[in-house]
Amino acid sequence: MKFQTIKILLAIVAMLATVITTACPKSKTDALRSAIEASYRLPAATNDLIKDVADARDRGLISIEQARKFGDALNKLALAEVKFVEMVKVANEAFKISNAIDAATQSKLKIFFDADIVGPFTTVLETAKLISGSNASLITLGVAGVRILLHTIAGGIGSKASKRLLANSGGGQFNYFAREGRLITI
Amino acid sequence: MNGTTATPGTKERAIYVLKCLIELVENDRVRADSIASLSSDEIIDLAEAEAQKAVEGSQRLKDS
Repeated sequence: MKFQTIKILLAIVAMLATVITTACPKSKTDALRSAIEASYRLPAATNDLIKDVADARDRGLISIEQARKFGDALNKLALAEVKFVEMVKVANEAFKISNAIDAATQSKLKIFFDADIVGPFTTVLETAKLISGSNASLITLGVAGVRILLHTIAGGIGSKASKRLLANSGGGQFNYFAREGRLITI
Repeated sequence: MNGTTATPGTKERAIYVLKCLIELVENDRVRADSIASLSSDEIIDLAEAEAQKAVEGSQRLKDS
């Protein structure tokens, strides 16, 4: 297989990853609606990830220490999500009436999201990177699932810094897929 | 670079990544579809319940 062909194939995959994460240009209203929906789906995706980590620990793919480290970061994230869902619920009441949220509410959401949601998730990302390739596969998709939702939320509430961080952390987009123990970086 | 033979398995890995991405999007779409049939109050209740489960589950992980 010629290297040029492989490069083209990987470029297509990278494009698909970019399309999925950025989607077609949305109006502000649509982006906000997507962000609100993603906010409601976020706790379920976090639960999936927690189960993946527990499963990996039980199978001996990660150490108890690593599981505890994940647990610590995921616990901070989960506690923040309880508050965040509450905040989004309030913002959504305004959105249902006027298809917009006021600047003060948006600012509060952004500040909380950046510090209390993306912050702990960055620790999850860093912890995941330290797992040796062959043992990472159970967790990688779970991490990616949460990441996609956070990226959508960041876009909808106007958190450009978080959006960039979530799109580019780890030196490449979507470097979380593994096969036979090797993480693939796109 | 032209004419260089790729590492064996690279094409297969790229296809695997593509399949994973499609599965991820599909799972998310299925979840989105299941939510679409719920009222907004039901969706919020679901999110609150999931968030509570996540707190408990992550606490157990932390304490393992």
